Amino acid sequence: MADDDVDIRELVAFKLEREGHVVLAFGDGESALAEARSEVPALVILDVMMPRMTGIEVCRALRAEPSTADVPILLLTARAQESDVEQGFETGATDYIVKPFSPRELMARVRAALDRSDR
Amino acid sequence: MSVEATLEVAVAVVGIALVASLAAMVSARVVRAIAGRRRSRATQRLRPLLVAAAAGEPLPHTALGRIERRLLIDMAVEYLGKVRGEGSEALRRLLAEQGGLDSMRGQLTDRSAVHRAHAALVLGAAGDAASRTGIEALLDDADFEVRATAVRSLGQLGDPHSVVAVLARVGHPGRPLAFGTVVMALVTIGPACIDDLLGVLGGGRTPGRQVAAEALGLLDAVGAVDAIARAAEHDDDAEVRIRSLRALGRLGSPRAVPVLVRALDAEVVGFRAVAARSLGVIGDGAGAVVDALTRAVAGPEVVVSVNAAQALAQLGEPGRVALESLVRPPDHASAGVVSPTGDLARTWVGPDVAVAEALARLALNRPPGGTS
Repeated sequence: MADDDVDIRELVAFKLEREGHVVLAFGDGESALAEARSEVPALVILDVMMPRMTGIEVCRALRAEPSTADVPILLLTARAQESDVEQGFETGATDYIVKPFSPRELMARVRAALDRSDR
Repeated sequence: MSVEATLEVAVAVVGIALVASLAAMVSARVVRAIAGRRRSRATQRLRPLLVAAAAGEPLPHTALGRIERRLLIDMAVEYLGKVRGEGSEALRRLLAEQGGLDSMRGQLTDRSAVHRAHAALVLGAAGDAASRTGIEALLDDADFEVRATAVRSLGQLGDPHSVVAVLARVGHPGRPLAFGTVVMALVTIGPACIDDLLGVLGGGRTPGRQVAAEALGLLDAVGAVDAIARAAEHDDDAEVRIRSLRALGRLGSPRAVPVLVRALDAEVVGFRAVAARSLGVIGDGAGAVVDALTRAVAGPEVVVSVNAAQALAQLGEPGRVALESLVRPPDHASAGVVSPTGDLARTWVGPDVAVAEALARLALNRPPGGTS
C-alpha cells in the first residue's frame, strides 16, 4: 500500500496484518510501483495525492502492464467529488474508498476484492 | 581603588556575565533536547495504542503519565480526522478514559486564547456533546481564531441546536465570524439545519440570509428550491440573490429554470453571469433555455458571454447546435469583437472567442468517432 500519511500507513498495515496479510507500505507512488513491478502483489491500496507519483498514475501504470493488469486496486483518498470517483474507476480502480474511512469497512472491501480476483 | 584595579574588576564582571549567559543558553538547549527526546519516546509508546484504537480493536487499560496524557490528546485528534465508525468511537472512549475530555472542558474558559481554541478544537473533534454550550459561549470570544475554531467545532458536534446561535453572530459588527467558516460548519452539521436556514432566508438579517442561501445550495436542499427561487428574484440584497442563483444551479431542479432564464435579462451583470452558469449545471436543453443563453452569449459583457457559451456546451445536442450557429466567418468575427462602446476587453475576449472555446471543449469531451 502507498500513502504519504504515516498514520494511515500504520493503521491500514495493522488491520491487514491482523487478518494475516503481509503488507509492504510506501510513502510515495513511485516506490510502490517499483515494488509491484518486481513482485506482483495480491492487492494494492493507493492514496491519490502522493509525492513523486499520484495514485491515479500508479493505477494507470499497473493496468498497462500484463503482469499487474488484473491486480485489485483500491483507491483510498480524501478526494470525494463525483468526478474524482469517476476518474478513479475510469483509470481501472477496483474500488474507491473516501477518507475519513472506516477501517472495518476497508477490510470488508479488501476481502471482497480478493474474493473476486481469486488471489 | 586604582584605575587598573577597577578595570580588572570590570573585566571579571563581564567575563562572569558572559559565562553565565553561555551556561544559561547551553542549559536551555539541553532542557529542550531532553524534553524533545521525552516527547519522542512518549509518542513512540503511544503510537501502538492509538493505532489499535483507530483500528477499532479492544484496548487494555493503560496507565499514562502526565506527558503522555497531554500528547495523547493531540495524537487522538489527528487520528479522529482520518477514521470514522468504530475506530473514531474507540478514540473518543480512549480520550474520555484518560481524562482528556475533562481537562479540555476546563480549558474552554482558560485565560490563554491558545488554550481556549485548542480545547474547542479537541472537544469538537471528539464530538463531545456535553461541551456544546461551552463552545457556543466562545462565539463571543474576543479572539478571532477562538471564534473561528468554536464555529468549526460546533459543526463537528453536528447539533442543529447550534445553528441559531451561529447565524445570530454572522456579521456581528465587533466580533465577526468568517463567512466561509460559518457556511462550512453548517454544511458539516448537515440536513438537520435546513429548517433553521429556511427561516433565516425568509426573514433574517442580511448576513444571515447570505449564509443561508449559500449553505442551502451546498446542502443539496432540494425541498428548499421554491424559497431559494423567491430569494433569487426578490431579496433586497444583491449578494443574497447571487448566492441564491448559484444555489439553484447546484440543486439542479427543473423548477428553478424559469427563474434562471428570467435572471438572464436582469440589469445586474453578476445576476446574468451566475444564472447562465447555473443553467449549464442544470443542463435543461429546452428551447427557451437555449434561446435565452444564445442571446446572452451575444450580450455586451464578457463574463456573461463566456458563462452562457459554456452553459450551452453543457446542454448536449441543442446547445451544440446553438453554439455552431453562433460561429461567424472570420471577417465578421473580427468586426464583431469590438463593442459599440469600444470596450477594450472585447477586443481580447468576445462572443466569438467564448463560442470557439466552448466548442473546443465540446470537441475534446466528445468520444472518438462518436457524437455528442
